[in-house]
Amino acid sequence: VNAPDGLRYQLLEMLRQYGSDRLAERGDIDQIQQRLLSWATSGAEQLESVIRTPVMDDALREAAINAVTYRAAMRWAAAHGREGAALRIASMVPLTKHRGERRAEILERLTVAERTSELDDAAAGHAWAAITNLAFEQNDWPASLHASAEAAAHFEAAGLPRLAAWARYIGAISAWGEGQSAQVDRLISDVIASFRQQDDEMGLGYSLWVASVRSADLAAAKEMAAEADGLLQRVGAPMGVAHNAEGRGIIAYERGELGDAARFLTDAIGLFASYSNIGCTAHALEAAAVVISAAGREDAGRAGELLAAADDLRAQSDQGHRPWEIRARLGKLRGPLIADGADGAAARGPTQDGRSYSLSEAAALAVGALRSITRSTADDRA
Amino acid sequence: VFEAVAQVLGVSDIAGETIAETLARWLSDRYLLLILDNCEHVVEAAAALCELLLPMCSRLRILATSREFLDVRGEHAIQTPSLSIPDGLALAPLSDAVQLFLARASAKAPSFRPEDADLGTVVQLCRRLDGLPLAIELAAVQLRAMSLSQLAARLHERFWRLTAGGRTGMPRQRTLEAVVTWSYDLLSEVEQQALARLAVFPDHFTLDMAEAAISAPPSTKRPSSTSFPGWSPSPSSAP
Repeated sequence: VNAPDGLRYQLLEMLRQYGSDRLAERGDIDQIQQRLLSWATSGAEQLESVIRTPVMDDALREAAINAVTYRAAMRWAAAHGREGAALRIASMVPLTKHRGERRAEILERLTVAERTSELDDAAAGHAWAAITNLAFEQNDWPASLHASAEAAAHFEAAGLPRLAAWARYIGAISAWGEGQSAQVDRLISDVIASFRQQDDEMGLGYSLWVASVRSADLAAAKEMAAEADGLLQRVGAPMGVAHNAEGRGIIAYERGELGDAARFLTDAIGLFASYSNIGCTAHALEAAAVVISAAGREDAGRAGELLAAADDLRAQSDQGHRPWEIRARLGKLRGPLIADGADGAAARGPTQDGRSYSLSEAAALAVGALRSITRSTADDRA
Repeated sequence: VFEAVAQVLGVSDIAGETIAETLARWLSDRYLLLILDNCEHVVEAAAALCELLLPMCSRLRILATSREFLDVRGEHAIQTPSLSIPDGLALAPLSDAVQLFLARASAKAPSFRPEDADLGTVVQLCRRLDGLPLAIELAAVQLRAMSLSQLAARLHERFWRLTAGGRTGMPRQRTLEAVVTWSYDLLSEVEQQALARLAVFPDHFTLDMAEAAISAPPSTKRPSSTSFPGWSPSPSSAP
């Protein structure tokens, strides 16, 4: 079997069934299943140790290759009263791509583990953190906010302040989604202090990005975003760099520095697209549409087209709107953009019109227009 | 093996010669394709025959089928994969597995009249049987006694116990279970244990995962995380 991590092996189903019967006859089945469970819990522990570090995404991708095997180990654990182990596997390993199913499964395991007293604070923290992330991905801000508070409390109780800070960080963005501005700024201020104290450069970079996009003081915002960029570049967090580049583009746009805005957004779209991050490319395209429209040059007509492309990509990604999009004012900006800058087809949306944008096509459309702005503003300055 | 080959070729013993020598002389000037089917249970003897005869009989060609390599000089191995199974229904009628199933079903169960709507079930069935020709043939025979949907439903059980072949086939090929048991019995104790332990994996696995499941004696001690691919220790650069 050719897999993303190289050559693998698989028994024909007929042989697997036959071997399974022989294993039972030999009386080895519980011991071997126990060994499989040990492998799975060891894998879950490894994931716990890299969670919210730059290597997390790769580790999760590798774990997902073995999702079926992890699930088998989890089921065996649950069937044999090992609810704590079952929960750890469910919390850490992406057992399914379906966010709703996974969230429900973790919650179910968490409930059972609580009932059977097979739960420690670290395991509960990881379970709530996973629920936080899944609810966040589903734009379920109240659930994400609640779960993040639970996760933070359990991580603090377990003596894991770095993970508690990360839980509060996601909670801050969820509070933003809920429109609880005061809570967002309080939480972000807390987590920045916490990450600084713990020398978590990635956490600090991400939280400075949020703080910069939140700040009404554009000079301070620019400074924070520059610091965030340095941190995220240094730890090797390309998606963090991309989000922050998008944020810097938005800040530059609001400062009236359209050339810089175009340059930052070009970087963001390039990074998101190179990692096939469809959902995040979508919101970066929307920021690009605003900047292109504001530039008021001959490319202005592309703004509506980009919004339509963003809608198309968003539908493909199953990812909703994020709180930070154009500093949460995208809704107000969309209407005029489509009315002023696009033809009717773009305003109706590509799906309805029978058109469709691939990730690379949409990115190329935006980057072409943004580069034109960068060149023009440089010429103007010259 | 030498005796069996001599018997099939009608070569008689000659006093003062071994049967190998007699065979070699008899074959030395003959154009012959010798087919040795299912060598795995006599793999050493089959290898010895090839090693002896091929250098002496330049016109002799040997085609051997075996679960194991003979590991003889000049061996050219051709692996025979399972029959192709389509991912979707569009190309299903052209796939080897589906064609074999339908051909054997119409030959063995004349009352079976597949309709277009049955194609999905046939594909599912072929996939469940791993595209194995013998398994497909044995399953197709079942249509004499049950409908296609009943047969598909049985696949959720230990289907290889349910399928029975014809009377004229070799006993070990009359049921899938017999096929597997015959092959399983040829394995050493260690190999049998390995196969049984690998059955714990419901999906594909790496060599390291296999070794971890097979090698060490069962123990409650947790295996080293570095035993498994993809689990590098936490990087020292991580904050």
